[in-house]
Amino acid sequence: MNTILEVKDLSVQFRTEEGSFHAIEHVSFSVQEQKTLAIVGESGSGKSVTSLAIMQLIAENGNITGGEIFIDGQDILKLSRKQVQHSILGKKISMIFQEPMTALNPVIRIGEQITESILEHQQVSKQEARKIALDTLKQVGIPSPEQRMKQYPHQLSGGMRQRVMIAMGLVTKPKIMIADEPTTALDVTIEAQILNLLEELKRTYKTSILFVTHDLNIVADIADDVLVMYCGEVIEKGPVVDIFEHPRHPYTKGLLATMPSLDQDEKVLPTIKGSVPNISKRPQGCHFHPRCEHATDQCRTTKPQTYQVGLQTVQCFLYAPKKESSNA
Amino acid sequence: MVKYISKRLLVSIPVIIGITILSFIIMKLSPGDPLANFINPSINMEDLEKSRQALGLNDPLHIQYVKWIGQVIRGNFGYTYSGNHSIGNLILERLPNTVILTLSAFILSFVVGIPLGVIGAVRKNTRIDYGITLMSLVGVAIPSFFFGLLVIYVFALLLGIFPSGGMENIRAGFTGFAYYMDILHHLVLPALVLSLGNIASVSRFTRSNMLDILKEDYIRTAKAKGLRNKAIIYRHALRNALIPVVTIFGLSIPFLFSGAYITESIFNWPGMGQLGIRAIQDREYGIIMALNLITATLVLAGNLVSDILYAIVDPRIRH
Ligand SMILES: Nc1ncnc2c1ncn2[C@@H]1O[C@H](COP(=O)(O)OP(=O)(O)OP(=O)(O)O)[C@@H](O)[C@H]1O
Ligand SMILES: [Mg+2]
Repeated sequence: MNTILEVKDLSVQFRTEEGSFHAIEHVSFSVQEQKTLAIVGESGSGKSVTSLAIMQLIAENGNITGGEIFIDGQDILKLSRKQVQHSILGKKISMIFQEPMTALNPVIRIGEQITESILEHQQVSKQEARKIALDTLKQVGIPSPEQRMKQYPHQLSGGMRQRVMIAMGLVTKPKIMIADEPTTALDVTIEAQILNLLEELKRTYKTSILFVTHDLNIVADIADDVLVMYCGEVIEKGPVVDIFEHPRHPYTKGLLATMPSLDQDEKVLPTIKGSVPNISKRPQGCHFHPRCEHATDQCRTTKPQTYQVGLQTVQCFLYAPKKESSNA
Repeated sequence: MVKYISKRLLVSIPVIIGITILSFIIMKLSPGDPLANFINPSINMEDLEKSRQALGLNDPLHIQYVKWIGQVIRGNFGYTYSGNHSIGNLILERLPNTVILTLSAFILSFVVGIPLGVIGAVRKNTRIDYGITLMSLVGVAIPSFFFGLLVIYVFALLLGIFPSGGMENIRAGFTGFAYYMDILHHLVLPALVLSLGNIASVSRFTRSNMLDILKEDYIRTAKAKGLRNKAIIYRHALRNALIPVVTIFGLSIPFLFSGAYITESIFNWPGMGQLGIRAIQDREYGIIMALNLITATLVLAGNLVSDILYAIVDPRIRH
């Protein structure tokens, strides 16, 4: 199976008035052909920064301080800005954002916003581009697409706009699409429709999806693999079934325990005690130790390595190979 | 749209009437006598009183106003106190010259101001941006009479490439194409002086709009689509940044017209501004009132044009 996206040791730093800090550190993962990888984590854990870094879209005050990003085998950090624009963005990788209300240009017709992507990346005539755009709008379930093409974003509902965003992302048949909380701004019934649509399109367009969310129910529905982030680091990753059945990291365990399930009668959902530390006051050693019931002195001083447990990778000393057993 | 425009036009009528009443009162309250110029030892005070009576200057204010507005509605602006010239004709003679000057300054403001603003925003915090910012600050801060004299000194006296004043070289007696080129030649300096402040404010306004727009989510979307910089800046950002700029289209019309008073005086440009300044000195109430009315109409028309343009360029309002 081919790897479409591979991120190795990616770190991103921001400069602010209070000083510089790393929003993400040594993030590594890969996405296989036609698979969905979900990134989960609490607010501020670095999910969006990770996706924006892959798209080379981090804010002006941030920069990538280390790591490699391979898209379809090409290390894009070694390419020039022009090359990335021309041969990567919108062509091999596309992105849909959380806010369909603001992500579309308010003064450009839907049709033009879609066809411009095609014309930028493919050698086709205007008529052909128009036809591709129409077909794609049909694919994403937009009724009377001819009419919609002539309309402006404010004439569409939120769900419709997100469908337009998806059409815009797929119209060039990219290898992978990043979706950063694409349904958070939508109500529940529309959310379900959009998720089904993404599932279906993934198959028709043969794309991989990098799906950012903090909703574990969505993860269970659509992901093949899961990446759990905490304080800018990947603390656990693995196939979705393994993670849900045997979460290893105490944080992942806590996260899954907070998940409401249908056969649960309890009124009060369990929560992980404590709260996410402020980005500038991240604790030494394992970032999670102040909230962890298994924390030892080692956790307070040294950062754990990543350890392989079955198909999962975990950043926690609980899974370090025991010295005694290796001696025996 | 038609309904909106006709509504706006209807609302303008009472506004214009109000403006004429106000300016009429202010002018009558200001000290000075239009006939003061005619007072000399040989004149008979009784004759003066007679002509005052004949001109209606002794009528109560509201009667004077009603008489005047009644004439204006019939397209008659009255006659000057001295020489009994038709005010309408005086203005008509000069209006085209002022229109040429202000229109050139208007075009210059936007044709130069918008690109400067875009460059400033795209090259934010570079030397080019700082240079443009500095020029804009100077442009806004410098009084036009001073800039006018400076420009005359440099381009007319030192370098001798442009004439120092007037609208045409009468002695040369140009005709046809040469005649228009001659006017254009005379137009360059006054149009530059008149538009300087406007160029500066248009470029500042465009720059700050552009910077705001470049932070918008849809610009990030455009980047994520892998569009080239040109398309991002011109197709996606500028289109949005220009929407508020059209509001100063209309607003700058009266600004330029009043600026023309000073510029026309400096460059001896035979326009309405020159006429107005002379009228104020001579207390030619008829001329001042006529010019007030024209300016007020322009302000209202400018505002209306801005709002209509706004609705045309912004699809969110259009629909
Ligand atoms: N331009 C920036 N300047 C400074 N700090 C930033 C910037 N962008 C992001 N950050 C910080 O980086 C951290 C990670 O942010 P990120 O947006 O990736 O979180 P997230 O996991 O996507 O959270 P959410 O679920 O709320 O979207 C946060 O602490 C955030 O404040
Ligand atoms: Mg986010």
